[in-house]
Amino acid sequence: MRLALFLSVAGFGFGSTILTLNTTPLETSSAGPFTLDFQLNEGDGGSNNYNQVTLSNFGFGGGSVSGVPTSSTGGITVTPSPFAVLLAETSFFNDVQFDFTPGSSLSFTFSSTTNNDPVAPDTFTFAIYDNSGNEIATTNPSGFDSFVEVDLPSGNAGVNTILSGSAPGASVMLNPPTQGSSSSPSVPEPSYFAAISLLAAALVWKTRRGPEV
Amino acid sequence: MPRLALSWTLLLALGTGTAIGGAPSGEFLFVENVGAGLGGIWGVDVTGTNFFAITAASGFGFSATTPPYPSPDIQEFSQAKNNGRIGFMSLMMNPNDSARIYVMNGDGTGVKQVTFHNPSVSFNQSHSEPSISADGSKIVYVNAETIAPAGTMGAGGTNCSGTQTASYWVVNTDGTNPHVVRQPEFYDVHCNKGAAGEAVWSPDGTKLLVADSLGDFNSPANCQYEIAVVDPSTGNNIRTLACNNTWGITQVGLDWSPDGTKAMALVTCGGAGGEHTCTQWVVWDTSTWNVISTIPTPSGNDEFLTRFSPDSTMLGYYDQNVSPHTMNIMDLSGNPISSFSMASVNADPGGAAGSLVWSASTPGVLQTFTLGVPSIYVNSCPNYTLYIEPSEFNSSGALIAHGFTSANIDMTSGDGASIHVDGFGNAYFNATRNSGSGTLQLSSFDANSSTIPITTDQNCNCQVSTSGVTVARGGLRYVASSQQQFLQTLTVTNNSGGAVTGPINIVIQGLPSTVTVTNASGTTGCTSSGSPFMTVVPANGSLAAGQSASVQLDFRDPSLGGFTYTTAVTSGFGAP
Repeated sequence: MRLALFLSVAGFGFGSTILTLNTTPLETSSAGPFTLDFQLNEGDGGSNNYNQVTLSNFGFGGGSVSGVPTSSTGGITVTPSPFAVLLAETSFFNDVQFDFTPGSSLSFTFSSTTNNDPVAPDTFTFAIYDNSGNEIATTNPSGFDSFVEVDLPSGNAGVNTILSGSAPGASVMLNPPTQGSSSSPSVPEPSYFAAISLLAAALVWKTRRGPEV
Repeated sequence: MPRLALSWTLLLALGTGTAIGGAPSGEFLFVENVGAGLGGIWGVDVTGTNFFAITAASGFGFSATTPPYPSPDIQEFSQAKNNGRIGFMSLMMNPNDSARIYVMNGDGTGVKQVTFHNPSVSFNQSHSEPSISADGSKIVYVNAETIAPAGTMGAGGTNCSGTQTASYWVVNTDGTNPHVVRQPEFYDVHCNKGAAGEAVWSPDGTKLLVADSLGDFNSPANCQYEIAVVDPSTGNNIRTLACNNTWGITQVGLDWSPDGTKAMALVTCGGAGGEHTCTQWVVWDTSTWNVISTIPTPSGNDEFLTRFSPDSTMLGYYDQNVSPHTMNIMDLSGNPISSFSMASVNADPGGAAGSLVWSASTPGVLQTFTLGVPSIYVNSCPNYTLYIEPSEFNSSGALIAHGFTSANIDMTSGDGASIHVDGFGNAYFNATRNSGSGTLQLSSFDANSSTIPITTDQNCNCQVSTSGVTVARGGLRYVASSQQQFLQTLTVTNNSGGAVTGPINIVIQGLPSTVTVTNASGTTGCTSSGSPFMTVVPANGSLAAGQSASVQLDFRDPSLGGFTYTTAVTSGFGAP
């Protein structure tokens, strides 16, 4: 009970979420080749390293992705096997792109820290570029042409997730991704590690004291 | 510099320029040589009698208004046959960048950038050879910042993915949807490949006539240097019209007749595997693609910038191999019709591939129009400058607003105050009396507006800071399809408990000088003077208690390094 309360205070990350996009229309589309684009930007315009996003458990539905990014800017770490991507706000603009051979679906687990940027939300977006070098147009209301937008907490606002499909007239028509929960742990924050350390120290201290009388 | 955006209806009618009795008509537009082979756009009627300038050579209103101009600017251009819009390539519009593509009206007003640097490439390269479609809605150009897609393989299995190429791209003239239409297919073992050269639109916009080195140099025919017809929707080669295995290819003589029935190209000949030894004009029938005529050029192995006449019955070409240089007109069999010297001007239309237009318009009668009448407010703060927005077109090329940024603006106010508009649209207001009202009149190309109500304010009223109104910012994303800008949504919420009357503006304060808001409503005169502002609620609107309104900001941050700013909300009568 104490542990759960403590972790809650420490600020566990945004619950891990499985995002799945039906990419079947991409397989036969003449708008390819396609590029996956993952982006995490500082809401306040600086580089305060408030938050980070981890993408893991990728599934490609028979397709594949190049293990080496075609473009990488800012705080990007790519793990080739199993394929995973970490976006950390070491810069204002953090972006990574991969060549993508579509299969029937694309899925990945999203997890993030949820530190509050008081100026504007740190924002993660996922988009797909077609062979024009531009995003496939989507209905994203922010004008981002992204299939996934996650706005991390800012001010009094919590996490806001916007899932979008292709816009009318887009080069390829895709439905919005679906969202499901995951049992995978979310990204621990530095404060989480501190909490674990404190808890461990407390347990050691308690053990050394021996049983209470 | 605060801006006042004016919008009004304008009906446009172009002269037909039809040849009467077989005589040439219309005018030639060309690049004026200001010393480096480049400059502004000049024109001359087909008799060679009347020369005139359409644009200054640099700065478009912030430089000299008469020649000689201090620095070169426009390098290549083309003109929409249906509405006179001009697409052009300029290097000096942004000295910190390579050449990019711009559009403007046929009278040199309404300049707008439509292509931008691709920050993902290793080397900053140019966009060039702009050819605008007949309806003025899109431009095909050569983009040397194209990245070869994944899976691009050279001979012997060399992986050429990610290498930089010069490919054909198409962009709408409002700057939207830039996309590649044709790029190199054939690479050697060292990833060497051909390059896009020049393309021109068929009048109906369904085909491109291209001259380039994108052909298959691995084939026995070695047709790397090709004249071809291409489908712009797929990039596929519909038909190869000419090819040779000599070195190089000429690009300067390439055109599609305005009636769509004929195509013309300057084709190299001779050389037998070496450098070509001659050039000749070839004219094709576009219904059968049979050759109508083959015309040897007068000076052998040289390039001649050549265009069809507006009625499609003649060819005009510029000859820089004779002294003085001449403009020549011939029929489609090569029989001379007329010629005149270009000695009276320092013309250099041969200096670039796309820098000659045979326009149907006649000098002095570019267009006629009817004006709608807006009502405007002028704040007469000291040194306050009224900027009249340039003309704007929609994505179909139809004129939707005109700012009268020509040299023919005439303004008078009724209370003794004066408004001066310089030759390129900058308007300066000097108040000589107290606040009052009057009228102003706009004119351009022999058409006058009705008088327009004008209110002047000697007291320099500023909008007030609006308490109880909050601004919430959305997140930021770098969006490639939005001309590679960072987009952000700002939402204004009225928590004051009562209605707030428009106009309501958000002032963007403290933005780094390297970052610009490209869709700002204007620049402030009062609050953080010189800062960009966005109008969230217009003058005739209001924001009720508890109500919100949103606006999208487009930030251009070439360094991708990030930017901070603060906001202020102003409302009410006066300048933001």
